[in-house]
Amino acid sequence: MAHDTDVVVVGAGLAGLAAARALTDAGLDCVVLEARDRVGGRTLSVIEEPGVVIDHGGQWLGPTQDRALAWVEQLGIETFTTYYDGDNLQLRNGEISRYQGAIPTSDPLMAADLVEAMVALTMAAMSVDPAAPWEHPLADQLDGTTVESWISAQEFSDDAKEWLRLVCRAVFPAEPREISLLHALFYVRSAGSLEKLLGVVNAAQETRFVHGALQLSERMAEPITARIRLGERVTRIDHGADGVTVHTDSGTVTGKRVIVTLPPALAGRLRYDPPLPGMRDQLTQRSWMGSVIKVHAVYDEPFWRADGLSGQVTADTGPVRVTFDNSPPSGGLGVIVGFLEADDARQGSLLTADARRAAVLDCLVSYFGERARTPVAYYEKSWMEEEFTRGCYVGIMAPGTWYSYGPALRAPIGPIHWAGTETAVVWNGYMDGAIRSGEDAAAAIAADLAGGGRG
Amino acid sequence: MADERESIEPDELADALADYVVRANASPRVQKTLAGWTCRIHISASDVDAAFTLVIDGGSAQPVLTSLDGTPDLVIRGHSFDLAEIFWGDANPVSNYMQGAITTQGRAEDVMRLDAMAMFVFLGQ
Repeated sequence: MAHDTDVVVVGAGLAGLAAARALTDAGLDCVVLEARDRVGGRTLSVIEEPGVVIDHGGQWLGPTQDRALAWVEQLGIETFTTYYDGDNLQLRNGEISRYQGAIPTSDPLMAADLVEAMVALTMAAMSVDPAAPWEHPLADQLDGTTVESWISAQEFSDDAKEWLRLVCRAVFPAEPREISLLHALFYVRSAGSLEKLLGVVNAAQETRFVHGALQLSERMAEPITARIRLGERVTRIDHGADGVTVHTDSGTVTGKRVIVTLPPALAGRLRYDPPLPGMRDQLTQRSWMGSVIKVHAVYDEPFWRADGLSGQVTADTGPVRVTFDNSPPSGGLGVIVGFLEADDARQGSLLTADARRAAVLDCLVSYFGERARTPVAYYEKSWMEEEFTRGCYVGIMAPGTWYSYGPALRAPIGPIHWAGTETAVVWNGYMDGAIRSGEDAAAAIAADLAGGGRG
Repeated sequence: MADERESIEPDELADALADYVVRANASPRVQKTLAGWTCRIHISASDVDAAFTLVIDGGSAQPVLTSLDGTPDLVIRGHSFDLAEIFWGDANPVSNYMQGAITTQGRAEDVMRLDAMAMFVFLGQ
């Protein structure tokens, strides 16, 4: 059977673009089909009024995210260090206190509890194989225990427990009752440690893009622009021994293989002919996207810095419980980025835009003072409302899913291969994980086809 | 900033590290949380001729050697002033400043456990 291309790639986010670049480097032809009118997936950078780059989606890089960092270096993309000078703020029981680093220290007992928790979780995570969490000797127990159950069972102070719940919401973003301990441990293992997930210096929030994170996708796409078809939403994949026929709203593309880079929750919404095995479909039924609304308040200057503040906040009340200084590197304007996460995002999404903005600014005022109430510009992005993502930062396996369905996450089905950050073994959920997953899928196909695989 | 910091004499740094070992071993949190941890740590000052080997054996810090001994699991390097601040328990070891000022090489879980030990000493827990 003659094919239109060697490999069809579904999705032009970082996973799809990395796959396409790797396939091209391997001498294979590919066609990338993207539903949006742009590349970049969950990264979205816009020059907003009054002339500031706003990253509405993924925005940070950190050490050990080696594949993303390699692409940044190769493409000569400008980055800078996240602003972290000064004190972080913690709002706890209505009172503000200052602290440095990833853990609030104003209450030594609480801080020691948190250190204990971080050690316990990281050490437990080291026993999880991120390529096969279901093979852990206690996988059924760990996958049947929610993070909330674990937190509740610890002999920590109530404040420490509440801060751990905040961490869960900030990292996934999901309520601790919604995530299994096995999934949380897998995620920590995938990043290296809980410190790496939470911190700024030497951690996942260390580095930002001068021109926005979307630039990485745009630059990766440049040499393969002719192979990328924007505005082509894939609806159905016919698959068999002869390869695949991928249907979009406007036509079909045939290939020897297809790489689907969508999150499992969205991949499960495509039609497959013949239908996928039940184990794969049931896995996609049990993988869901985190709930987050990302907000930016732009001020004429980063006024909090004069008070010795870093712009970082952790709070026990919402709707915005986590903030960072997201100001441009050039100085001038000041930008605070905040996150409505998990239940805060869900409840926030039910408000009118005006009511949501007022609630967000009330939070910022409680952290940074009355001056925070009057930004020169305000932006928000609900990833829950994005048709082609339906949530961020990452797809989450519901409790019990890793144990019962885990192998179905990555295993190819005939000519269908899976990628996307949800399939990444290293830095799952991050831009780096997306790139790694695309490159891994491309390498598997290249090896298969070079070895005389079907099609 | 680095130039403004006062260098600490190697003997004083050794005293600080010895004191750190005493306080770490006296910490109930260290005993509880880091039990079973074994790690050989090389510590070097970047500004003075001072190098130490700290061995953690089963969660218990052993007497400090004033030289680099054996093959390390962790390598720590920093300005003598910053190292002394952490050893005396005067500075938050996981502050953004210290995370940038002190370089560590080794497995992430060992770095995390050393940070935890230093945090318990800093917190007096």
